[in-house]
Amino acid sequence: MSSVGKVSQVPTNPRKEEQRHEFDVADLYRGPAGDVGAVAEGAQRDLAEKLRQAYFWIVNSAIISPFYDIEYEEGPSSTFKMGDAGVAVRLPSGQSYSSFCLLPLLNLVVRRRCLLVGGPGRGKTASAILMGILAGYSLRDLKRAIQHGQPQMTIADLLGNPLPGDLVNAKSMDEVRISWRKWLAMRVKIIDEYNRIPTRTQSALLTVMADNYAEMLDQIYECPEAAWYLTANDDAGGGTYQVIEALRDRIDVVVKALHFNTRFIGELLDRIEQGVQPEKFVPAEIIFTDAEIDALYKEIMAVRLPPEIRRRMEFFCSQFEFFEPAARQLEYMTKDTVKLSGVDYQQVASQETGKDRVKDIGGQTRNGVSVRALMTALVFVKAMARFRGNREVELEDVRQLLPFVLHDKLVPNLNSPFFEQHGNPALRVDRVSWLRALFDLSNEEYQRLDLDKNDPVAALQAQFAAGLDGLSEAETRARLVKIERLLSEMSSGKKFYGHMYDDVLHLKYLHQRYTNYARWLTWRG
Amino acid sequence: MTRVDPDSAFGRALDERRESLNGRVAIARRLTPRLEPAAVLEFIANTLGPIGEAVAVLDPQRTGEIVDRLLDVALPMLGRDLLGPGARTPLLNWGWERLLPAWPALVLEDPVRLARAISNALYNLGSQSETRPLEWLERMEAMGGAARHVSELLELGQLLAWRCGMAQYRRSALQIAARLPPERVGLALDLGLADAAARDAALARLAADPWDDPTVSASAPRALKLVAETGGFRGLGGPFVSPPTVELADGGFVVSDRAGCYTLSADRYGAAFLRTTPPATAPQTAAPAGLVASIARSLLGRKPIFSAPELGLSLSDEGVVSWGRQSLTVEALVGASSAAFDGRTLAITHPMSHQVFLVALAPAGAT
Repeated sequence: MSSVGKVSQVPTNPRKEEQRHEFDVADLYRGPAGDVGAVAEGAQRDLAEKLRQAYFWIVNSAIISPFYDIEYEEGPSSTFKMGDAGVAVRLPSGQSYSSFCLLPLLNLVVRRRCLLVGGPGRGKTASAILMGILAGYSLRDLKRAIQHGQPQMTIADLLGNPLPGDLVNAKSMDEVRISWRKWLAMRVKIIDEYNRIPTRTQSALLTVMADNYAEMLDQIYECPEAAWYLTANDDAGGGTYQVIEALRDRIDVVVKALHFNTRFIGELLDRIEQGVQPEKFVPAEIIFTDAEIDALYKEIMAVRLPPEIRRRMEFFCSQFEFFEPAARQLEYMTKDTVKLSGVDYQQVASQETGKDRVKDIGGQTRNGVSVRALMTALVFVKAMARFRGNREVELEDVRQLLPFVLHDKLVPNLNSPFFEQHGNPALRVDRVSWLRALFDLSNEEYQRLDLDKNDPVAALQAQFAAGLDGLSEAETRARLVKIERLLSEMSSGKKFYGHMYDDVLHLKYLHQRYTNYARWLTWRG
Repeated sequence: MTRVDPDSAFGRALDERRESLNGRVAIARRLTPRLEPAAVLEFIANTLGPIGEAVAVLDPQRTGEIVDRLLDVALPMLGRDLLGPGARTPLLNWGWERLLPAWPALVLEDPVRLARAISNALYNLGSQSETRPLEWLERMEAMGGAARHVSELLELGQLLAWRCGMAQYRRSALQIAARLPPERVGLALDLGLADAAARDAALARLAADPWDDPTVSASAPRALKLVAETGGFRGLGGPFVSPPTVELADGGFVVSDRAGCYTLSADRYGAAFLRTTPPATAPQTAAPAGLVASIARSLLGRKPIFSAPELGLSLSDEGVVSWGRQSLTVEALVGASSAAFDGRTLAITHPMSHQVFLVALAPAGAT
């Protein structure tokens, strides 16, 4: 247990280390007083360890969130079934985390956009403020910089006002200076109740969120990269004003504020009685400088994503876009085509025949995974791996983080018979568990197809990636035959599932590239 | 308890931060019920006070912030009787009371790192047998003021830790010493070092031979000596519950008794026993077996306890160490139970002793 002023002194992610005979004098400064960090001038502090210390300080001293919904296993674990419905209570055997505390922290270091949702009074704004303090801002500055969504909020309220004197005296718009709002310059930006901002003002906010600049009267203010925290009482995009889709789409990760466990009312009472406000006692050694966040971000980007993990992510994401009844042209057979056409999705879906609608993972969604969502997923899984002290992403990192990234990105098809299966109706509501179940199903299918060992498309892709230089016409033609043969095999008597779609398109792409090359070789003579 | 002058810089800082300090202490008390408010007050007055006053001379604006941060470091240790009036040993208190007020500029630079480092260093020195924590404290007090930055000071502390008996750190301490100014290395190791070349030469000698004495000419004759008797019975402060045996594993000494195994690192500045796992090839010799073997040897015919003919090194049952043309008779080594040689040092144990005897070639005139 830790005091508010105390940073965790025990190893934050203890790993068994081999006994060694080589002693390091750096151990002199390790002990009960806590971590000292590197001694030599210029030596780097372990920033991942600092991030973990920040996390444990938050969960032990600041936010009462005794939940471990991000579960890791290290060996056998116990599961208990409760009640008639057999609710599974898992006791994970590995170090596990509270999403409400962890994800905002990861968002801080990767500087993306985090939406905190939940009923009123659940600590959404408090959590965002804490992130700002960890980024080095004072409580006073943060509170003054929070943008509070309300129906009368204008663009000027959000961004700033032209200087009155300039408005009167200026001969052209260039001469009008804007008194920009201070929050625009901050590296942590908090928008409270963003779904109460009027639509017009949402558009101005979108420019800042998406493109990092604010514009008013032809004047531009370039904002620094920032970690964004938006709060809302619901995640369906409703509220006083409907959130415009482009703004919703800019949200990178959605985190639910979990309920308050009443067993901890005693701790609340202590805080009230003693007037303790943890945000006022954040230990200095877990506050990050801009340079540290930059450095940690670089470390995160350097985390390796092993090819076999990447392939599983690719396979998962490939399941969802393909929609056979949407078009006649192969390239247009996507759910996006349906959406853009304005035709009712269900109406088109009813034309689909032949596939096992329970088994078809793609049938569970109404859209596919966008490029933006993919990029965000890659960043967050790397951040998760680094947080856990690893230099390589593990499959479980992907499994745990993907649901929070895709929470608002993959829209469930609630009419899918999958949700009628035993035990699945709750997945209509529990988006995180649904997405995790989707990933698990995808992995099972990946295993069944033995794609780690048997992936002819990957082999052809690798062959092409080696380049065309020096390839003879004979060899080019041989490769074309190989592609056609593979397509023939794929087409013989099998259903056309989502994961095959990108493969087929890729084969068409390779075929076209080789065809063009063969034509060039012929022309060249 | 020293009374804090409310008009002093420290007193004013306490007053300004009353709410913050009270909140910190309240939280700490809730999580560590043994933390006594009186102990905290006494610590603040007696220990933080002088530090605060020293810091206030240089930067009065930051006095409160420094007090906050030092208290954050101190509170968990106060609750565990490592610091403050209830401390099990006075070492950490001495560190805070004697060292931190002497270095206000360094405290201002990085109070948390400095306080933690000093606390951990004294804790580790105090926890390891055969070290000289008080000597470390005194040397740091004498030399620390010359450090321009916390990093420099901490590196000096690491060098001094080795100097004060943490022999296991010899290799890494020598690497640090190579970076430090020659005069500082000279003071730390009691060597007169005029320049970097002299420093490097001295360090090279120490790196090559743990028993060398850089104050003595490198060409001075070397004599076979009993350079150390180390270890001892656990009841008297040593590590062993029974007479140990020694062997060589992975290039280092491993000393084992009935209760466990220890690595042994030793040089002219001290010896360190640290727990380890039994080596993979360890013959599990316990003292009684060693005694039986010793008696058996005397009854059945004497063979050397240790012999390395290629080096001309041997240890006989009569306690005679022969190395080249030199020999040394040590009565305490008659009937030795085991011996091992690491290239520089012959480590010897006896079935009737909890000590480990170290024999080596050392400069004849060296102390």
